[in-house]
Amino acid sequence: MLGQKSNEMEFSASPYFLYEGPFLDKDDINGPGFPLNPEAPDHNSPQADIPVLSKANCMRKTGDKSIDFALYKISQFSLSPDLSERVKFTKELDDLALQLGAFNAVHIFSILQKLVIFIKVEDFIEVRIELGCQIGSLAKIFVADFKMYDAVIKHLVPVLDKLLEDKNQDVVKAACESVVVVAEFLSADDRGVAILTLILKMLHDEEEESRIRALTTLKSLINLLSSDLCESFILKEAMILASENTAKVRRSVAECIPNLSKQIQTPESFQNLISIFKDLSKDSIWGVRKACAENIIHMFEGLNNTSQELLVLSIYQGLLNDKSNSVRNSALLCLGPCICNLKTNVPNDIIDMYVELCKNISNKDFQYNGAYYFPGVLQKLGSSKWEKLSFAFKTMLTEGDFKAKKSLIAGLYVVGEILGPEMATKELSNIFEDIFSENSICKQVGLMTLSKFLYVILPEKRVVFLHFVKNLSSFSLNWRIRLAIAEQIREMIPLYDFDIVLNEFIPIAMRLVEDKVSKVRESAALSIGRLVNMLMEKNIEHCLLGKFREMSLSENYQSKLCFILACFEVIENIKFIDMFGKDMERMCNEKSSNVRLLCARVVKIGDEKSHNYKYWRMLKEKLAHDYDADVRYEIEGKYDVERGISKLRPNSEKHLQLMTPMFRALFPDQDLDEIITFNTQSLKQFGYLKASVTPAMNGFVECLNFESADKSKMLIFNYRVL
Amino acid sequence: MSTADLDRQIDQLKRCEYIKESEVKALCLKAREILSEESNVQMISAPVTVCGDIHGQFHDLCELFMVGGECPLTNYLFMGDFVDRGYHSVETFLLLLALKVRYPDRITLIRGNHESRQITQVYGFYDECLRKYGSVNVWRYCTEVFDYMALASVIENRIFCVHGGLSPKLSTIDEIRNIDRKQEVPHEGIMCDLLWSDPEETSGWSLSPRGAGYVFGKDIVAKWNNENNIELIARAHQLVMEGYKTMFNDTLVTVWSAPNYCYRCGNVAAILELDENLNRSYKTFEAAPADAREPPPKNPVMEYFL
Repeated sequence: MLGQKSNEMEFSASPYFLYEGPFLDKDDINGPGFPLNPEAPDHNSPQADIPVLSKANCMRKTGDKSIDFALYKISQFSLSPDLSERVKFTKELDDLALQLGAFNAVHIFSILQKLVIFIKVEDFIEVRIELGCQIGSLAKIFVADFKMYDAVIKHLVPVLDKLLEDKNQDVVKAACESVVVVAEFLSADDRGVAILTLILKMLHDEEEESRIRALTTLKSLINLLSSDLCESFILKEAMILASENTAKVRRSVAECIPNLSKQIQTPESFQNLISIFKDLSKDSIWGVRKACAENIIHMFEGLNNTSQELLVLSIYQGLLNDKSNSVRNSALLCLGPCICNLKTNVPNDIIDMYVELCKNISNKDFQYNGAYYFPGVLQKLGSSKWEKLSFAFKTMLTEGDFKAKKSLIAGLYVVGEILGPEMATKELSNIFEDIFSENSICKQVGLMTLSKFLYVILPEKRVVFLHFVKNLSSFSLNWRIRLAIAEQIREMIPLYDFDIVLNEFIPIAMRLVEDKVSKVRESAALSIGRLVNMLMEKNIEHCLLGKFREMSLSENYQSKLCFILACFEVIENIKFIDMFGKDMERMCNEKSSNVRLLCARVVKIGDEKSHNYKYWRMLKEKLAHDYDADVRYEIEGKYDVERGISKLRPNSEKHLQLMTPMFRALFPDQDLDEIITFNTQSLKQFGYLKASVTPAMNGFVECLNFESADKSKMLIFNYRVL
Repeated sequence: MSTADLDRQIDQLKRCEYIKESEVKALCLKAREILSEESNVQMISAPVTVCGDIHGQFHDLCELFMVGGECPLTNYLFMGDFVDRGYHSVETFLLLLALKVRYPDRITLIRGNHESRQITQVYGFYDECLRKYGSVNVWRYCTEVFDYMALASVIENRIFCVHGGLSPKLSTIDEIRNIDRKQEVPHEGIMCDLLWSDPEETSGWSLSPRGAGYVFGKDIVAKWNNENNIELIARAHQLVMEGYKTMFNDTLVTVWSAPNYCYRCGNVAAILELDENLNRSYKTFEAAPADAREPPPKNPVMEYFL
């Protein structure tokens, strides 16, 4: 505090570009720790960039967000004997770091150092777990926000090292997760030196659990390591661990190999890796073989067609015919994705197995899996194999489990795309029609993709589906079905002749816009907007235009909301202002603020994409001075009355009179313990202030008179009871 | 707390993700300030949608917003019992609170009998806060907000809304304004009765089998409505299988907004929409479909039906 003035002088002489805005308060510049922070960039160095001192890199916070409060928290954390307090503060380390800012990060380092020393004697596992979780977030803050890369290596990695030695596996697990996050922020070299070293140490641990944990971490870490490191270190470790006595370790190795295969580049190393995987796939313990089966899909991903065919396919075929049911089932569940990822020709025995998998109605998992990957499998095999697959497809649709059926229906349009228009119409139209006699969830899923399906079949067949849409929009009790129809109308309009659109879709949309469910009405309103736009573009006189206007004249505010929503689709039309400009204007004067709020959103877009600048600007101006703060916010993007802050005594008479709900509506983002003062540049502002405040005073006064005062941080809000 | 922060928190809560403890603290402080400025009987303008108990059924609250419309384009009045019983009391209450702070004029929250320290310790909210945040701080912040909630509401001077019902010690709405509401719900007295009483097809007053509040009959409602120039009492507090139930020649309605209450009752829920001219329209809705929900926790909250 005492040094404030001298520090300010120091700043003016230093090579900083000072931010040209309102002057920063004392915490911005003289926050505790500055300029003693050893981690702060050395600006005297000739190589250093000259930093810009601005609000962006100086925390400007008051109250709970101040640096002082963050430091108070640190002292609390160090001293509190209460476990829950300490857990809480450890959980908030990342927030605390952000609060302190880069210049004061030294305080976080000191906490970490304390904790590292403390870890040896610390009995509270919860604190250590939370600390483990925090290291990843801190690394992100140090690198991305504070640009203090070295601090991660110097301060965070040693903490991770300590935590990884912990005897509690939950602590180790939390630290391992952070290891991966920290690695993401380090350079390739540092990943090897700082991070991989930690994991290799764990791999050589005597404890079996540590080795397994290390392998699990390695699975995520491998993608971040260079191929050199993978080949030189990890591959060798994998070769040793694959012949371990403990099955769990071998299992973890099997889980790591697929990711490792994507990083290994030299043919010799790759051969070695495949041979480890092959051995593991023939392991005497079924659990190890199962791990191979579960991860086989990732083995296919990174390989070219020759390697797939020569090296991995035979392993997979072995697993598909494994003597253990569990291994076989795991391999079977990978059939779909494996076929999709095969770059070589799919062997017939694998296709046959997939077909059998789909037809197996006694196993729901198999069937769902088969259904889920069906479009992908068909895409890989091509429409020429449809005949082979169609029986399985139809079996799943007719006799299948609900989940499998739902999945197939959702992907039916993709199947249609692969088959081509003629075949899709012939093979799939009837199937899609049958969906409408299924339960409501199947209908709903079918409707959600109806327009996409109609797009892939022949135009003459599309008409058949109209009566389903009509019936369901009228009689369906499930509002989600009506919603799906309301959403689909917009997409279906371009797929039909204009006469059909006029005669069929307009009545459906008009019915749905009066639906009792808000979401359905909103969606239908957008469809109506699109239809109105079409009529206007084609210059067609239609009763819809009259009905559209009637929505704005309705006594019900929900109809008015629908009218305005529909306007979103029409405002860019050049004729909009001539045809519906007056109606829009009337909506902007509506009594219900909800209607005006939506108007503000339309007007804002109208103003941006305007054909008539004057019209939209007039409405914008009107709504920018609306008495409702939320309406003004929509236009201005901020709460528009400038205000300064000066302290008001709590529970004083003035406080009681001024802190009314309407005031709060005007200033929702300010500290309401403080009096609001206004920068009264515009007299207009007082119009709506008066309009807002008077009703809110709720019997206190009959009228208020507002007077302006000068622009200062002093109290400038005056009121006088008349 | 800036508007952008608040909008982000609302988005996060709408995804059923709970916000940070420090954010809860700031939100509760802000909400407390806003609520403390509201009267015990909050005056509301139409149009407004009146909702009953939610009881931590977050996904059903989302369903309610889909049926009734999103805030701020639709104004809402929630008649208490936001927490307990359901699996997502934290997210439910914080979402409503965040909406209240963001749009103070468009959403009104009045207190229910479950917005109490004692009740929430027994029926789930306390445990849920502890489970989700690892400490009771969030519960403490929220229960402090409960103390500041309005006790009742009057729509356009015509519709009296309260969580439970009337009190024998009360004859005019103005008398509610005299209560010092910033306290834990007491075991007796007007404040307790407003949150605990129930109507019944009888006449006069009788003791409530709940152990708090009273049971009141048709004549009591008629007298109250007549003396206060009220046309309808809207209240919640009791499970209605059809979502809403009108009584005494349409002078009182119970609105219940928690479909399939406790995930097993099989009831539908309802909301009461009042347009600018106070025309009433009841909308019923069912529980959110299974695929919109998360699997329930292994240890469900204890059974309790009333």
